[in-house]
Amino acid sequence: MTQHQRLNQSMSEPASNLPAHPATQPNSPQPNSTQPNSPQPNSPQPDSPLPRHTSAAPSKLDPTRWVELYGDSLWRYAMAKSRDPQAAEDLVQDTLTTALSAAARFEGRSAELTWLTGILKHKLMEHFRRVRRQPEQFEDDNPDNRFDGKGHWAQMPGHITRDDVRDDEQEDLLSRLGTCREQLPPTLLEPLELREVQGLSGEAICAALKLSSSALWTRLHRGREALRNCLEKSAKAAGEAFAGGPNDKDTKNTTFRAGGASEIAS
Amino acid sequence: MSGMFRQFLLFWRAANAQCKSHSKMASMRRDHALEPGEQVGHRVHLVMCRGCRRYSEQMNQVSSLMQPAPGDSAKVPNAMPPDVRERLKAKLGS
Repeated sequence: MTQHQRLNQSMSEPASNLPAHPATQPNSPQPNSTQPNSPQPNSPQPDSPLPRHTSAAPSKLDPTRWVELYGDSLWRYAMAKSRDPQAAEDLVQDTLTTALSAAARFEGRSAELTWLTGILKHKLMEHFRRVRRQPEQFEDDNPDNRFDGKGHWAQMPGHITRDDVRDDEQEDLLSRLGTCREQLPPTLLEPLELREVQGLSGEAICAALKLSSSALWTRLHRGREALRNCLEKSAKAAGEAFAGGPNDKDTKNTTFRAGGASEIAS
Repeated sequence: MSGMFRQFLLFWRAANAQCKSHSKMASMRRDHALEPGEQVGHRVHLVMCRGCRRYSEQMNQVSSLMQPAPGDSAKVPNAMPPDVRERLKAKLGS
């Protein structure tokens, strides 16, 4: 199986949740059935609410009803992949306008929804590539400073949890992580989200973002490292604010220092 | 046999690598990007090095914090929000 096939497989997972298209259902009524005069309750009538393209004319498209019929499915797919309502809306709109201009080329070999989902998949790929190309405005706080000339730790890596928070440590970490995530450049955040949030395999991400595997490992590492460093920094800042740290001129809270930043400061 | 030799070589290189390399291996281990030999070498280093042990635990923590909680899939909406639907309809002229 090639990387591309694997990616397609992983990208098409949510599509399996989509409702089966009427034209693909095995029991859809045939015009030349054995009982031509018997009433066929499922066959599309001229006034029936079923879309016109179901079985009679598979190659005819009905763009006026796309949003109504397939909006939910396309939206669900775009949201599951991008997790961003604004991007999802743009992607669905893009998909439908592209489909509209390419309607003449639709040959009716697949169901309308399958065709539209195929276009959406391409739009998603383009979206991830575009996000990746955005300029980096991220200050890398040179992680090499952490190591001495021999490549050993110059000082022990600090804690990422706050000392003064015990009960809701997880919640505190999550809220600080949210802030850190926003500071991460898309070049680092995108692969990390594909890996951790969506659980894609390394090969799938490499194919989606057109990266070599070693470049991907480096980016994932730099992304996690940046998040970790950011958490460490914010824990330290919060600890110092809480304990009235050494750089804090307002020292009215120094009484808390004993229980606060003793370990962090060391 | 050459495969085993290769893994031993990878193990030896990893076990003797600097903390700087191990900080990256801590992340690569989460992506299943280490070969068996490297993995063993990395673990041996973690047993001996407190700094890398802490760093590796923190990397795991960051990763697991990013993963969606079990009930999180409910956040993916089932239907297109009505306002989005209206906007799209208006834009597409349908």
